[in-house]
Amino acid sequence: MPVILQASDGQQFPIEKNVAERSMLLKNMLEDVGDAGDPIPLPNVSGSILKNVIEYCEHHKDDPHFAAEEDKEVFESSRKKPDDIDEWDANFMKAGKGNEELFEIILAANYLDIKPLLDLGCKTVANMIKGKTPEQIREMFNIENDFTPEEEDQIRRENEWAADA
Amino acid sequence: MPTQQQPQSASTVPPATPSTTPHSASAENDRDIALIIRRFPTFPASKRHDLLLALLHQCDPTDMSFLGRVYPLLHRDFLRLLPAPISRAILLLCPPRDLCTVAQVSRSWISRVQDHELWNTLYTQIGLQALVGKCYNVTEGMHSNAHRLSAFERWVRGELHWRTFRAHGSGIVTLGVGTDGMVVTAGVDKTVRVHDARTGKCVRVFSGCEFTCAHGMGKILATGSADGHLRLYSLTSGHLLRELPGHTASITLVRIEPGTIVTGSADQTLKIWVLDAEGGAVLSRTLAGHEAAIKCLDFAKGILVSGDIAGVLRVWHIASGNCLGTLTVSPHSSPTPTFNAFRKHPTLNTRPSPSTAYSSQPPLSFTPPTRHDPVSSIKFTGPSLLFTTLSGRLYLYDVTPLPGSESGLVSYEAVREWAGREGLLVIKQVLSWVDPTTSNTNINNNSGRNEASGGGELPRPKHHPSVWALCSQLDEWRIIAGGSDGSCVVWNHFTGKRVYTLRGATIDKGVRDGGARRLPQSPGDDQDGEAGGAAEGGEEGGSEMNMKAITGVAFDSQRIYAACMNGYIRVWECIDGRTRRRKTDGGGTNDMA
Repeated sequence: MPVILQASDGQQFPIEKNVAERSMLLKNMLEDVGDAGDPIPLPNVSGSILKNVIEYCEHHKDDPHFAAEEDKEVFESSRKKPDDIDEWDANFMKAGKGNEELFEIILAANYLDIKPLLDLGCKTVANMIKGKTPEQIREMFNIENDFTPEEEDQIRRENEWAADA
Repeated sequence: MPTQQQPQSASTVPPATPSTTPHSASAENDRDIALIIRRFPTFPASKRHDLLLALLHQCDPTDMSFLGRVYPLLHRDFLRLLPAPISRAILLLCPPRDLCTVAQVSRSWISRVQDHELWNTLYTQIGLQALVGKCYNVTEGMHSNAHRLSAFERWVRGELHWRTFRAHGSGIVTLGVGTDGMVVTAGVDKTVRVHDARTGKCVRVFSGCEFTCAHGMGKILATGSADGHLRLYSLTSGHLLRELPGHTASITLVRIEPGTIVTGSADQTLKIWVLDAEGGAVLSRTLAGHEAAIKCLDFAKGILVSGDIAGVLRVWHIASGNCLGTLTVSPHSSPTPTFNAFRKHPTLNTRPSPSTAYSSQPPLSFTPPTRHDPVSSIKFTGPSLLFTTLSGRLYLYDVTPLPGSESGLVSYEAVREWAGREGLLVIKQVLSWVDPTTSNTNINNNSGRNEASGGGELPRPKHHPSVWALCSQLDEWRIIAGGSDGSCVVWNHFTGKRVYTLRGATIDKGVRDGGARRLPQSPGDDQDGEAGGAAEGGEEGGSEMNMKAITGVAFDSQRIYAACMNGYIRVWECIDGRTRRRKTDGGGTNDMA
């Protein structure tokens, strides 16, 4: 029996139950109320973003469920690296998605509690930051440089990475 | 302010324009709009501003409220607009170098990257949460903080270069490293040698007697020898400054600190020597009490800890020469030796009596354990006491701070009161030279098999039944120990987890990372041909176990040093920016990733 999700703009998406269960929010909701067949309203997610999120969940519907505790253990010896993204995920993030969409997907993943998608979004942003100069980052995220020239100078001195320190 | 805002809204308005005029969807309109959108970016800034202003003037209230709604969405400043936990998660994925960049973007980005919770997690990720208060300093600028974090990350991940150089013709018995990167070793070839760790070059050789140990401090080198004499040399000139007889058997360990030298000997006594500025030294006290040959000692803040081959440690007050209590290691009874303070003390004598063999042996009834577990090394820093036993165990204790020890002299009464306190020594970690796969389940896993660890019986070294722990060192976050099988194990002493095992050119990471990995060799360090060839990355010889044994370990902020019974010194160097750059010199990017 499909689960029907209703986006903020009224669009409805019938999806399989195991796809919906990638979202911890939906999983808990379905466990609590059972699947009565009524559309589940998601007032925080627009139709176009929900479509993307469903696409992701469809692809990952057979993944083993994320074990948060285990992940913490791995931290111990090696910090997570932002560049270990699998190919499908990388393409999923690339395919015509601008900053606005990426932003919305991250928010939706957070709201729907889809940890792997949230991680993927964070990794994508971390990769966007990686190796850039502060000026490039400001351009990329439309950030105003709110330092005075003197401040900027001092901040650069204190904060710039110098390899031979 | 408005002029600053406008260029940004410039890029945001065009995509909004079509939706503001959806109903007049004639082909002509579409074409005009497309044209404006295409041409807009080519206009000079002043023209763009004029056009935008003109457009804004024509907007009605609905348009304006639409703009107000849409503008912040287009102006996606991820770190500022995302909920704090998410922007923190993003920053957690950024390498230290990028954190520096983030700290230069804008005020709000700086505040995100200075977030204490972020740094807490960054340190927790590498198992060093306990250090964050000490090592993250928000007032210091991101540069210093990021570099410090980066160094820890490289150490924890085991990004090390390995090299080795021959220091002695045969076995090395002790190793010490000065702050200047000079490695002092005593070898069974009857020499003490000083090597520059950076180049592997021998800079000084002392010979003339059967050296058994050596320790350098500043310009003075103190050595002990088989004839029981303490000799002091000038490290700068190489001259013998003093030769001080006293011990009736071989000196097993010597430690020199400003003003004080302590020697431990196979004659079962310790001697305290007062050192003057000119390099002269006078015997101050002889400490008797051990009932077996002394194997190791260390002292800090006026307190001396010594260990003997019968598995007994004694804690001494240096100024009075009184023994404050004992710890006894026996392999079968209690897993964690507890400190027994002497309740009855001898008559107080706080006046040192120079050059007289004053023995302040407290009355005690000592029954030697049925099976000895010799204490093989001691490291006492003041707040921590670490010792190893030959059977392959390491014990780390937290020590209650001695009140007033920072300011200098502490009265004997205060020391006695301190030594008599309950919980003076609190066991922090018991580590064992067990195979990593079993050590984790046995020692650190509190759930499940509690009978294994909780019941009092410690895991025995199953896989390496004959590995002896021979030497150890301790710093703010790690313990390093060298064993008779030629490996050095590094533990995180906060978590008690093994970080890795260093076996020459290979490094065994923890259980989860799986498997051994070969370390890159530092460029140009095996130039002397003798280091090429045989197994274990170029060290010759030593299929016998005792030839592989690591007899001394030391480290500083950049390197780990280990002395081996085959006469080689092994150096593992943390790969830092400089090393990386030197290596990639002459082309290639210098990516710190």
